Amino acid sequence: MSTLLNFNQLTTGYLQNRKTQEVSTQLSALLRRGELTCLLGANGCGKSTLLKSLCGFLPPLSGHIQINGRPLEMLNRKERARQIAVVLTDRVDNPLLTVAEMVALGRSPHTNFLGKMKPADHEKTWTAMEMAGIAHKRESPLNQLSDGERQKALIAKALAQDTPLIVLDEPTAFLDLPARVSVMHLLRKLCKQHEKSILLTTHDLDLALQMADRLWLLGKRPGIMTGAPEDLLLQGKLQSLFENHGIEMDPKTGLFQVRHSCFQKLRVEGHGYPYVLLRRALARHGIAPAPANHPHPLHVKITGHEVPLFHLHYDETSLVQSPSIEPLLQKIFLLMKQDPSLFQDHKHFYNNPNSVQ
Amino acid sequence: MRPTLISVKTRIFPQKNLLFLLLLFLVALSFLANLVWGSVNIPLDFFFGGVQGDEWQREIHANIVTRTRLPQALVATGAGMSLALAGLMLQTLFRNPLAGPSVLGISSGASLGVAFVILLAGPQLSTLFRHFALWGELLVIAAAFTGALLILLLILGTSLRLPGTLGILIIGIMVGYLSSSLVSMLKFFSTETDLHSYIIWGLGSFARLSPQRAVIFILLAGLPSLGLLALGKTLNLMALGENYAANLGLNTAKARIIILLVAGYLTAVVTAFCGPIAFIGMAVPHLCKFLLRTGDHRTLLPATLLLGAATALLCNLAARLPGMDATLPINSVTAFVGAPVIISLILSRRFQH
Repeated sequence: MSTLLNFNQLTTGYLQNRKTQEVSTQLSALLRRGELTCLLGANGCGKSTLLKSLCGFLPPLSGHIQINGRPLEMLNRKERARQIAVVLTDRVDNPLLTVAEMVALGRSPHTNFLGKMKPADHEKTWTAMEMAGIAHKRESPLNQLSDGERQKALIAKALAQDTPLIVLDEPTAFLDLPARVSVMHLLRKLCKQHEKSILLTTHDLDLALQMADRLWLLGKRPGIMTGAPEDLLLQGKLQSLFENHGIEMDPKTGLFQVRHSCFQKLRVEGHGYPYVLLRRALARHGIAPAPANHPHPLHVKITGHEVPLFHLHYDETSLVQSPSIEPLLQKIFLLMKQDPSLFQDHKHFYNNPNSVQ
Repeated sequence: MRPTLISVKTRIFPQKNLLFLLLLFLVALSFLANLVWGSVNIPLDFFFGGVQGDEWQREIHANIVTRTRLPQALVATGAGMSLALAGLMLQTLFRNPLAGPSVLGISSGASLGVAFVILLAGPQLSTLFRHFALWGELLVIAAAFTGALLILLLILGTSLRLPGTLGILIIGIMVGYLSSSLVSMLKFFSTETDLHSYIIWGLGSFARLSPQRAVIFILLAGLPSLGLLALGKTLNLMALGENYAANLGLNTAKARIIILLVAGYLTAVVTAFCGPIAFIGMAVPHLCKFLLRTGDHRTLLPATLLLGAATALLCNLAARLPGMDATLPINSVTAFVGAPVIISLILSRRFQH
């Protein structure tokens, strides 16, 4: 697949009061046609600044950006408007504008000074609304849309602009999970079926890992790391982005999860989905599951095939037996309060306070 | 077969055309009412060619209409459309529903210019006023226009150095406060007669201009207003936000300057000729959006122009108190029309959500 946008040794930043303030340095990456690329990084690492530079809102302090084989700074406003369309987090403050009217504004770079729409422009506006799945709301004013619908309307506006590249700044922020997934599916469809290149920033790590063709990682160190999500996971680069932030990668699923500090241990016998869920519940309360050879008399056993059954044992005495996890946890808290030493295996605890096995 | 946008447009447009016709009719009606009603009511036959009554009375009526009522109606029309358009443009530019021609500090600048002429130079000029009333009037207009233009230049200058529009808004309001305080200093040190004539100027009026001046005013304010109707696409893009507008190929810095320049110019002309006219610029755009239920400036601009003219004409009529000998200052009437409109719109908007 051919390259649509690339930049080399880019330094982004601001020029303020005749002083330059560098945000990110030594950035080099490329964007291929028909691919969905997610730009990831912590808050304040320069994602938005890089995005602004790539859209031409903010000239880079040094380095070159090329789009479609031409330097970005050589394009005039109209030419740039036909190469890059944006969806921003800015509020559109025209509550009575209808979806169709806003999407039609996406045709601006192709219409005259008065904004006269030709039949072809109407056609493109329609296609854009249909592609974004918002055509049924075409006559609704913007203030009557849900957040997800507004995002789709803005994506339709970007589509009507008819550019090879669409750049989106946190398109999934403020959306609930189904709306986030639906927006990401839409973007993927646009890449694959309509050969659009899409670059977006997001904090939705799990979604980005599953939906992106390539990831761009922006960290504290200079430069930008790029690659397929799976490669970045294999190389441990994604993990390094979030080290010391209370997040860890679950090697079983390839997804990120919250790291809990565990100070207590409890032997758990069992496997499968019930085991994973029980482990998660225990971890939330600072209890790590211990392996079968853990010597303590208190332990949990999971039996049952279709419906799991959780047993809490002290030696061979059954303390609780339940198909749900909560009664088990209640009993464990009670015991913990009565005798904290029950859960502490001092040798393990001091040697390896964070171990999760 | 899927519907096309064109068919959607034709489905919407007849209603809008009807609304435009209604608005035009409203303007014509209020214009006529301005000619007919007053301290002396002129029979409609006079306008529509019915030859009745004696020659003497016809001549009196002709005099009243051509000397006072027609110029007044023309001035009200021009001022109303200019102020309403300036208000709409500034509300869109600043993305602030409370913006209007007065927020840029331009009317304050005009007031300052007039205060200098009337209050400071008043004693020296009083002879001039007595002997050459015509020149005195011109001097006031020139002073108001100069003051307004100086403030406009100041604001344009800052807008070149500041990104975004919030800074301009704040500077405009602050400049307004500064010139008001200068004016109050001048007031403090001036004589009672000068103060009185300054206060009369500050109350605003559509009735000051001679027929020739009224025509000049219409040319200065009305013609550029008509030219503004071409700015629909620019305003629609600016309403999306400056970043979106820039991404869609608009030169936002240039658009900002054009909007400020045009809105500022219209406010300056109206304030110079009529004195500061409150509320029309702020209230009419809201009323227009409420009536037409659209955010498309290509429709809003002409509708605001018509509604602004009609509002100013009706306010002028109300201020004239038909059938009575007294008149009210125009600003007291516009406030009574404008303030309830804004309050009710804001309340109804809150209930909608």
